[in-house]
Amino acid sequence: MAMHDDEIVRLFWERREEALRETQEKYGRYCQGIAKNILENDQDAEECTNDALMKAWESIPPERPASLKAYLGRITRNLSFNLYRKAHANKRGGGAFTAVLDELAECVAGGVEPEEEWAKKELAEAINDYLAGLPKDRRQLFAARYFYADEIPVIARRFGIRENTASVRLARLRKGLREYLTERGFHL
Amino acid sequence: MRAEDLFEAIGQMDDRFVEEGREAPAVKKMTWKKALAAAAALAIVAGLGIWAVPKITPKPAGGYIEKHVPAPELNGDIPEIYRVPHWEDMRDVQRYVSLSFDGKEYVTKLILVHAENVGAELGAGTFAGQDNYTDEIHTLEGRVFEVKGVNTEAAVCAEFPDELGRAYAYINAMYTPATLGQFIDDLNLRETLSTGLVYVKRGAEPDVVYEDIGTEMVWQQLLSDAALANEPEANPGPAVLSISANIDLLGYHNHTITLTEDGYLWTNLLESGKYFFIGREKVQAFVKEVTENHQGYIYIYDDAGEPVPEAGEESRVAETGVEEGVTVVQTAPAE
Repeated sequence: MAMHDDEIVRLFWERREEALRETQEKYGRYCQGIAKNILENDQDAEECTNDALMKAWESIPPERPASLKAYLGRITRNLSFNLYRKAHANKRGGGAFTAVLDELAECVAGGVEPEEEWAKKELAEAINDYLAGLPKDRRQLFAARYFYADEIPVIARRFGIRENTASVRLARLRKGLREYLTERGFHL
Repeated sequence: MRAEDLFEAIGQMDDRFVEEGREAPAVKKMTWKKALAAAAALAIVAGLGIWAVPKITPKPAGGYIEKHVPAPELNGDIPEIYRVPHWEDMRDVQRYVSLSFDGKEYVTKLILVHAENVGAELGAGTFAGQDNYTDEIHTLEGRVFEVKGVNTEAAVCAEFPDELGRAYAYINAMYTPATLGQFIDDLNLRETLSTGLVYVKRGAEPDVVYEDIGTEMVWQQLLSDAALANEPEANPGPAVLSISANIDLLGYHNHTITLTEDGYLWTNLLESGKYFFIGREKVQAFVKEVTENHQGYIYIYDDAGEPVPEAGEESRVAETGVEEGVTVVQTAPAE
């Protein structure tokens, strides 16, 4: 049985290298899955996963994540997305992950960027508020597609629904998000 | 705004939503009438001549009702979570994550212990912290004090030279009590432990929440056998019930006392798991008592707002400051 997260975090805090081994064993595949969804390349995904572990090592302590899983997921996602952006500095690629961005582009108008840190924070908080108001299964669907960048067929299988149904539900979620943010004064 | 900005912002979604995104989605269940009809039809079509009984998902015998509650307070995002603060930008309590004293290593809880709970001075200790940018290890001498009522094997509090009169809690991460009784005594749990909501687990279905399970019932039915051995190497099975548990004195809030289907009680209070085998019968009896004699609720979260208050929780911890993304709280004085 895998070690409890509290125990793993404790190992990080004690600066014991078993922390990395235990994290790799428990969350290595999870992180790699996220990186693979974004980068669509096994080797890059593996490198990103290793980098994510090192970032965790560098940041815990002082961080003491309430959810180690979410913490690692977020780091991996950020690193993978940064790498994706470097690789597609001039134009978007044509892969499965690009479809995720294309869908999100429907929610925005390409206007002003939220450059200020507080504006980014407010946007993130508004998205959290929107998600908190959704039924759990819709939130799960949203997270699967727009946090984890899962492909539609994968989502459909997991949720036991048809691909078309998944796409329609996601479109409604995007529309709902756009309306929610617009009503709250965000310049999309 | 571009799609990339939105994708980044979504990356800051709350931890619980991130976790939910990888949970197994709930599978729609047939109503019992539909299930019965389907089973009957199957029996007829197959010519089996038997009456198939549908499996009905068990629910707590006491039933439960749906309750609309404000969504729990979000943990807050962790913007740019891997931007580690520079040494010079941190306060001592953030810099010095560990404390050596009397041959033991303690770790910080970022908790300021109320002056009334600071006990006798124990001697000098050495704080240590590492600059994550230069890898340099820094050390600092400070005075170490007892936390009143708490065994120094488990926790102490200590004062930084530049913050005289303020003692921060440091926890012995390796603290491993031999028995439940020792754990209770060392932490003075009779005085310091409070419990809140009780969650009965139902697999992928939402937990059923019980709001009126008093701490005394937990003591009588689960914590009464002081001789129970702690089994640090145990690997307990799935949880069937979880009790929100707090030791406000040391900054432990909304931790858990969990019962498992194979008869373990485990808790993550203090820095490592403690596992006590109380037996399946006790677990089943407690679950039965909770579900049959108390009202359960399925929480339906309406929108963001204040967290659901837990019994006896009102402002026992007073926030005193937020700096560099770290909340330093001061524990309440002893009652």
